Amino acid sequence: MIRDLLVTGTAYLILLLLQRIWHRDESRPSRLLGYGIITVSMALWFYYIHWYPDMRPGEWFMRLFEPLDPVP
Amino acid sequence: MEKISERQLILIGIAFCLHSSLLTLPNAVFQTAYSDAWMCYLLAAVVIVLPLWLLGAVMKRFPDSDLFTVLKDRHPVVGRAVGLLFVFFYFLILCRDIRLLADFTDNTLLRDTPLVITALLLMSCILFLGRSSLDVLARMNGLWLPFVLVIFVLLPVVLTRDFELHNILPVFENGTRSVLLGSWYVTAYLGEIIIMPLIASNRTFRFRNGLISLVIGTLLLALLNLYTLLELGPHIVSRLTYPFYELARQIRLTDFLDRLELPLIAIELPAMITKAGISLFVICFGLNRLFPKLAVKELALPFATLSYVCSFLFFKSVIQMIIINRSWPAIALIFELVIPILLFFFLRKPKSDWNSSPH
Repeated sequence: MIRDLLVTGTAYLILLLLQRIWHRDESRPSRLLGYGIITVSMALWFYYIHWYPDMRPGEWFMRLFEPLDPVP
Repeated sequence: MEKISERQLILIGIAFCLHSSLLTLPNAVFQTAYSDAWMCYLLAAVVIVLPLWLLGAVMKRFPDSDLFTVLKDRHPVVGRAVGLLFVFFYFLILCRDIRLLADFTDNTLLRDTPLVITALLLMSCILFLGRSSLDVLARMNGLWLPFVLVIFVLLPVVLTRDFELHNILPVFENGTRSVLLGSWYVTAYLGEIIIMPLIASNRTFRFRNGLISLVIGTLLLALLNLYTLLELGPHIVSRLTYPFYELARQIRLTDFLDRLELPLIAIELPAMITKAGISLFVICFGLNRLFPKLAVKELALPFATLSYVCSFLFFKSVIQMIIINRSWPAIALIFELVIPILLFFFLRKPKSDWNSSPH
């Protein structure tokens, strides 16, 4: 878990640095948010699907909804 | 603000009523209401008239602004929070739609292609649509949707000879409770029509336009349900993952056109992709309206990536996509019914406007 956070955090910092060096215009807030979201997406993808296939993605989301199901 | 015509907005409203409701929802409704499934759509539409009317009344108070802008201008903090809730809601819808489309394509057309690749191909189309403008999306929707509507209306012409009236009789065979439960499932899907005030101002979005979209979308869905029931019967359709697709497979026009479902999918699939593209656009557009420093085009790729990943994280299989229809309304109706009611009471004109107004 710590390794994953370190990897994705480093990736985000590198992207942040690159964009800080290259562009300083009005679209900077969008890019900051954009790179952040892409990094989070990559982290989620690798963490849940690639590195931990036994996590069975989807089950946790289903459990959130279960109490609301009118059909037991 | 970008201008789209009233006709284009009505077509967008119909698309949001119609497309997602064609895949796994019918299965859940047929399993619950059996031969009375077609009634569920009509009942659900009655419920959705209320938020449409409420939002129409709210938009009347603020001419020339979409709902996101109104929320931000009237209540900078709470309004932005509510706007973000709408963005989150359409993000969930986008994730669900990507997975619905990917599963459908994977199960019916590209059986040997891995699901992640199918979803990636769909996602790339949705991304290019989401990056474009509302005008382009409205035109694209206006291009495909009329074909879909005409096909749905003309289906009985080729199916009537196989219709069995006893499939839908007696009415209310399973009691009214099953119809009400079926309507509960449908309400969440029809309620997606509340996208109309989010992307258009009072000049384009009026209650009347919303009602036209809702009525057309609902009638088409009810008709499709009726056709499917008359053609296949309640016991078969309640066991099918995609009942409407099976209905299309029953169409046989002479020997050389015995797979008419393929051209039908070729028309319906781009229409569904366009709808998903509009969902992606609404996410970026909403964020742009709430935080003007954020650009729509810059946000499309990140949100497309996140929704692609979440479509796999949230949903495990096509079976789960059917089961989740039962609990989805409890979440969706918060955005589709509760928030519009609250907005109706709390989103009022500033007092200075009242004083300056002649009325």
